[in-house]
Amino acid sequence: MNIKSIHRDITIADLAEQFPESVGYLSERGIRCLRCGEPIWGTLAEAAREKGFSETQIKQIVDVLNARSSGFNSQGKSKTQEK
Amino acid sequence: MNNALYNFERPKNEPVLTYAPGSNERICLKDELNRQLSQVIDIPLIIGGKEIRTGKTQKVVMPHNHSHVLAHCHLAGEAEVKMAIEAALKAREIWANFTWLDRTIIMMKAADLIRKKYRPKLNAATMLGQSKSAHQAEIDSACETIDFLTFNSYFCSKIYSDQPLSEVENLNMLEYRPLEGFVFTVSPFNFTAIAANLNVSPVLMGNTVVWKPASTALLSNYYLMKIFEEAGLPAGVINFVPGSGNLIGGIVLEHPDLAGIHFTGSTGTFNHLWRKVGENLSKYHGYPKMVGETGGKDFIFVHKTADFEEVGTAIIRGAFEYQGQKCSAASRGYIPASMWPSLKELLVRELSQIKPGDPTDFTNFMNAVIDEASFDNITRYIDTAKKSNVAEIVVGGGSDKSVGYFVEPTIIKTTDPHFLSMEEEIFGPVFTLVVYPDEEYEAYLRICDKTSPYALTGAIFARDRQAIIKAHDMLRYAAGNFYINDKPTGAVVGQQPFGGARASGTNDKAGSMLNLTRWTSPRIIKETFLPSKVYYYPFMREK
Repeated sequence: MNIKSIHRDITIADLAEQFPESVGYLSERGIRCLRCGEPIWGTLAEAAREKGFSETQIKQIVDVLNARSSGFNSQGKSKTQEK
Repeated sequence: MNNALYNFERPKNEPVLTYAPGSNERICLKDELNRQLSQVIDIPLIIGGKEIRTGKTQKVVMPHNHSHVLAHCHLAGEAEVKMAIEAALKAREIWANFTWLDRTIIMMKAADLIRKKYRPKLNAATMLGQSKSAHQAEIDSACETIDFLTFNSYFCSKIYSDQPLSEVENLNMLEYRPLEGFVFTVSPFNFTAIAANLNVSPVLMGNTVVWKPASTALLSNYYLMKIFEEAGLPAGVINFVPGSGNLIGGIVLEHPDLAGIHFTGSTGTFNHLWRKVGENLSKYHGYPKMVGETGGKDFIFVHKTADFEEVGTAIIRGAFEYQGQKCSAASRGYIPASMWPSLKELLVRELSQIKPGDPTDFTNFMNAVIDEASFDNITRYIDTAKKSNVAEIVVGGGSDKSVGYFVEPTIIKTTDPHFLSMEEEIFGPVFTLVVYPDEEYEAYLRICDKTSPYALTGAIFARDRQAIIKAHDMLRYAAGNFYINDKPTGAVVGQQPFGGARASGTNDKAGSMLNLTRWTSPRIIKETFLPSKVYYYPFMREK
């Protein structure tokens, strides 16, 4: 069971390390977590705000990421793949 | 006190050694590679000249064989960051009062140490820790680092000698003071030389720094720090502080004595730093100077009169050397339709033979990308192209991270000049091109100019001089380093000062005087020999 959860103030570095599957989802929405080979500094909320997302949208993103991550372990592999 | 008015001669760039079979440098390098491969070292923080081991460590692994551990590096916590700032401020009291000549002598000695004593060590560490070929390591950690040290010393001497006019009755002096506080330096993984320059540039001008090295370049950066120490750099002038960027940055950016940031890395992180500095502006004693070299979406634009073999070589070297992980790497191309069939045949033929591999095997042209997160990020762009109906993989597209993070040199052809990989920086071995009708040269120059927010490097290939002039003018702001009939990578210190504007940074040109002047706070001093004893002027008299 994945006991960690994603919140708006999680740093992008922690997000990329603990929930690597989130990076692709965010990238598709214009929030690029990895640039120049490294995670950008700052939090998820800061990165989203820079791209013009509202607080409501940020909350939705966090909810979606948590829902998606519940199907993955912290290494980004799906639980079914793990079996 | 040394009272010599020493005059530096303009240095020559460090010659690039070939590492050809049988050469002495090849033998020395191979020996050093074996030595470093056979050990696991412990990398401490170095703060105020003291080695500090926090016990919280990260593994330093080889990107091309990620199960091989080269070192364990201690990471800073809050206390160590604060300690580093205090050490920098304390050292400033001494360092700022060193003569500029004493400061340059230390840097010239560091250059000579690399040239004669530590060249194999620094190159081997860069090869193993950052997965560079012998040639790529040589031009970076040896030659470019030496060039930064020697040329910056020369530029420093020129700056100090630049003085204003004086009259017979007074003397005007321009004092190039260091900034009032400490400088925060943040270095990237891709060039050991950039790590050197980010620190040396402010330090030469009398500043002290808190240095956060990239977490994926710790081995070479640690050896670099040790070389600075051996060259005689006083304790606390450079404080080596590996650790989390968010943690270190969070403390540094709140400090009232932050006087400047010297940064190379992503646009996203530089924007974050700038935003935080803005938020904290009322806390600082002054306005921190912000110098950043950030991302790029560097182009090769080809006119129908260009030679396709020259273009092919420029694409292969410009896009795929060091796996496309240079800020200047070519990552988008504009190819005239009449040239495409012959160019395509050349690229497919040559690139099909290039397989990325271990840098200790000197026959490998390419090696691994820096880490798993980068690997996943790069392959995501390739997968997007595979699924797209406006793009196709011309060559490459394969990848494997089972042993090392290997990505094949990949060329994507798209019919959409605004396709995702034409616009976004990937930082990997992926080159996306669009084939345009020969007669629409100017229209595509306009597209090239407006496609990406970046403006770092770019190249035009043409034989027709009018076509070159057209590109030169229309792409005036599209690149800070603009190449005519050459690949857009490989800037040499003192020859092509490096940097771009728009989203690519502040364009303060690393490897030039322009950069060094950012690290001074000049004071003009006027001294009058015989001050006037009356206040009124001649025009005030009646007669």
